[in-house]
Amino acid sequence: MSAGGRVAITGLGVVSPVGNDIQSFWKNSVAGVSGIRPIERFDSANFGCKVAGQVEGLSESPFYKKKYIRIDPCSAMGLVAASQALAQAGIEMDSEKRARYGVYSGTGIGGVTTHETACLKYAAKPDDPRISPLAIVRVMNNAGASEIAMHFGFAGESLTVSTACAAGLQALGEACRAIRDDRADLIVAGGSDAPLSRPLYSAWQSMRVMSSWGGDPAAASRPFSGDRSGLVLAEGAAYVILESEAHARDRGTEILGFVDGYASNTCHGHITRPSMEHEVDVMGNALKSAGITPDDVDYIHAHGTGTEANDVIETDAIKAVFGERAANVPITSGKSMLGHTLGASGVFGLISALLSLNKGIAIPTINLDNPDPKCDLNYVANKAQPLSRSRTAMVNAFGFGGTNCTAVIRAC
Amino acid sequence: MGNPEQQLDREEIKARLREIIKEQLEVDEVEYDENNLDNLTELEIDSLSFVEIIFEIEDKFDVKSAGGFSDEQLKEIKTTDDIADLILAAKSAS
Repeated sequence: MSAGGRVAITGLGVVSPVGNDIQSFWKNSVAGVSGIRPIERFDSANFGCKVAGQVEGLSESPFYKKKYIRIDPCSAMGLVAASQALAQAGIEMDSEKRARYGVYSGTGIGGVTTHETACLKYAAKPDDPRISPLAIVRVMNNAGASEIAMHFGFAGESLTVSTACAAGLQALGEACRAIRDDRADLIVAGGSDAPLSRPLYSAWQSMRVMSSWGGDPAAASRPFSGDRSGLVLAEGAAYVILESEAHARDRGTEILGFVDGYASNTCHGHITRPSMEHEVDVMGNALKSAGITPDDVDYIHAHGTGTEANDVIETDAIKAVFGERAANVPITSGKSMLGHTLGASGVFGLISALLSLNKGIAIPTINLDNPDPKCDLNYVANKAQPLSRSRTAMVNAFGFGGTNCTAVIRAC
Repeated sequence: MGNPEQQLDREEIKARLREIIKEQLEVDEVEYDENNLDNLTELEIDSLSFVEIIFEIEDKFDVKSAGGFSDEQLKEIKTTDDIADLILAAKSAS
């Protein structure tokens, strides 16, 4: 990235199907634990896909209490994850610097479960159309960013990005630009999605991208595997604290790493089909913005959805960017364990990649038992691998609608 | 207000209102002042959330058959007594 100083990462927070804090998330990720289980949110008897990545164990969180009835699960998960990240960064509520602190948040489909509930209530009693006004503030896509800003009293720039599966990483990338442009000192950046709504679940299935796996739920998400079964939807939220390096050093807080490169572009040929040409461009531009070459990249956290369209094209794009070196860079798809958390997924990838750099361990792509012959790189199959060098990682997030994002992060 | 039977109804209504608020928002009556419902906002319960309570009250007391509460009436609610007044008025009108 040009202009401004470096953007430091000083806090991490997750709510996920494999853990609701960074420590358990990392422990389970390294161990290759799947978070995919039979759907409990609704009766899945009439659906072909009966598994999902579900967040559990948050009922005692304050944001799940009834007095926060205005908060949809999508926003509540975001609040929990953002709170963790802010606590790690040592930022207190109602900071005196609130005018320079903001929230940049991504979501694919926001409060979609609230929308489903409102629709069902309306359909059941169309002659008594009293839908709570809370439906509006729960459903709106900017609810997540707003709730974080309101809870912590941040008055700086806030932005909501809704670019499907690229939303969170794009929000994070734009937050870096805002800090570099000196429009903010600190930004809570990340993404959240709670997509387990029956009508949309049905629509995903009709799109024929959902997993048709009939065996062990834990084996349903199979990125880069020849017997892949499609993507597995999941809930989750992932947030980081970004701040200018100068601001972080002035505060004396620990810097966990830096976002040194970011690029985004639009695959304009088809509303859902990825394009290798544009994926090559976005990865190349992100490396250029970080001022590095492919030889500098030690690790890649792939988009890796477990659909043939994604896995083969992303593999080919990585080969095109990295040339012969592609075979020597470990590549992980965290979606093999988490499932696809849509707008949160790119930020989960970035957090995983940063932890990997700092600990020198590439987390595995699980369920990779029968590699697709067209996917012939090192995807860290089934078991974590030590990173021979752990300085720089690249993170991809590609969304329906054509938005591609790549971030480059570096360890301290 | 002076009618003993209506007074009894009022206390029953207020008791049920306390139950509804507790059930809907998990807020016990000792945590708020039922003579100053504005202080619910100090418990981070905003005005939009209070509409959920009104919907529940309209359902539980079958006020809708009398047309429900008007926007003007809702704006004037400051206490649980105010809500009881509206319920009693709606019931006597229906």
